Amino acid sequence: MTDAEWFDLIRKSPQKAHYILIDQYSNFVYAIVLSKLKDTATREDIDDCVSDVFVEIFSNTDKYAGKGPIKNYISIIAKRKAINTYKKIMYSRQNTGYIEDEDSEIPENSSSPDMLAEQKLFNEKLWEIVKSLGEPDTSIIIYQYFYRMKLKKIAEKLSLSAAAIRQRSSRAKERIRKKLENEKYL
Amino acid sequence: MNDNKYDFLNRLTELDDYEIEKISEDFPFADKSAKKRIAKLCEEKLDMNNNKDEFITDRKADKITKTPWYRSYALGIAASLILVAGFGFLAIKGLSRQGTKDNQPENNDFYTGIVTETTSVTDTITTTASTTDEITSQTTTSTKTEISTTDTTEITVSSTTAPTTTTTAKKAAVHYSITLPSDANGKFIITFNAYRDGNFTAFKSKEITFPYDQNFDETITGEGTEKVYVMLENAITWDSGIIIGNYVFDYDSGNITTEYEDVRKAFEDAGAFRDYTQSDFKRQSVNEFMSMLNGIRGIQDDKTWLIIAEQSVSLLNWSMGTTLTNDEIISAWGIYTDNWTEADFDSFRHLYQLVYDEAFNIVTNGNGELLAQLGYSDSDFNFVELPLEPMETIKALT
Repeated sequence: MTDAEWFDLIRKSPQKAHYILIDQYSNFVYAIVLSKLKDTATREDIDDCVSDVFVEIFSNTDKYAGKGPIKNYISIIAKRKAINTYKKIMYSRQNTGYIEDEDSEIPENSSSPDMLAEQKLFNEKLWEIVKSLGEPDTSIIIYQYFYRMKLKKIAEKLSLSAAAIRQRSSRAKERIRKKLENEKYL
Repeated sequence: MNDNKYDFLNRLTELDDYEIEKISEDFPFADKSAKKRIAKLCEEKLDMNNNKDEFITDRKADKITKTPWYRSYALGIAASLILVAGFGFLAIKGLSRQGTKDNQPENNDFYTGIVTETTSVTDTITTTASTTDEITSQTTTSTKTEISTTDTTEITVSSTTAPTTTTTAKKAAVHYSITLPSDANGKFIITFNAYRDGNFTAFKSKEITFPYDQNFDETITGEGTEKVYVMLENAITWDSGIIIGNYVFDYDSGNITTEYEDVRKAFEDAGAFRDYTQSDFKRQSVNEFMSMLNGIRGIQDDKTWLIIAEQSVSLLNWSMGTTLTNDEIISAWGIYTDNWTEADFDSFRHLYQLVYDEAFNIVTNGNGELLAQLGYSDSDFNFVELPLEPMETIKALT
């Protein structure tokens, strides 16, 4: 569905339009939110944040209509909501007033340009190695370390036993580590 | 994950936006139950009318908790505004508009389908028997005139008479119904096609969306007997021409004779049993973005265009969170180079507006002075004096 069609649909059948947008973009939003929140948030926090992203879009369709790809808005709003969720979580954990020091931010972009470049190179290499693992190992690592899913959940998702997931995960992690070491990244 | 030896794997979450989007496509997180959960949460929040308050709360939180990182983000976006504004100025200099509709399919039956579905459900359900109506219409200057009837069905009436005459058509109907696969995903358009006046013509279409629609019922009006091909089109991937069945519609008796029908196979061929990925929607993004770039006229040489294309892509990827690669854009650009129209000034202006809105949202939230420092004023859209910053300069600001 094109953006124009979606904006057309939301005027006629909002609920259907809502469902379609969620269906199309929920994986995208989850990926952005989870990549920002990492281990800090509970599943409820994450779902809450993801739903906030869509609610903001649904509540401001007039603002976004015809002003460019809706995916761009979704991406921006997802990042913003994830940052706010992170702040709220940190605030409630520390309970020391609003977060004002730099450490309270999601820790990124805080390194020097050289360090950032090194990190970027490392991340690219890491991703390259993870992709080269082959299935189902690549999926296992992604679900375990990107999406932070429990082994049992991964097992259900990939239709494998939890023991097999555990064993494959261990071997895959070791392979990744050795490759990084061999190429002097570790 | 609690094994420190492998802590480096946590850095998978620090990948670039493009890779994150790829992960969301290739390793989807949300299953159907998660999507339903999100839909339910959204519904509750919208019902409670909390969305506005929540948005305000977020803004307040931003204001209070703004940090140097956030400031640099704002600075970066504001700087990107200058770049886009520079493009916008070029656009203003040489453009007129037509809009992004250039890339839309010419056949807008899809929209008609939506309207039909949402406005005439009762008609569709109740008009199951053959009916005969007298339709009086005024033909216009062509020999082929489309007449919209009261039940929103489009009828093509052929007339060999001179323009501005009155044609009376006898209308009867058949009721077409199929059961849709319960496990299908996505959105589709069902089109009725027949040979009319020597041409293979799509004379009616209607949209269906899973999982909302379980059955497809449609009352088709016409005259006499005709062979009808019912075809399926995937409204997301635009895969089309997939035959659901061939039938003979006898409008007078209301009977349908099935010559061939395989509903499930048609939906399978149309990709209804797979999960859609972001890649399915990428082409649309490319097209939309290209229509913006196409709008910038006054620059004739290819090299400059290439640079602008690359910078624009970088700009979008960087500040707007898109993931288009230069190659995708340039490739699409090549396709459209020969097809430039007067279009797209507005599209480009929308891009500018998009960046502006985001910059304004962030920067004016207690940090309006940053815009002023950059020589930018909300009330003064004077971009003529502003340089077209290279991406390296903009990136260096962050």
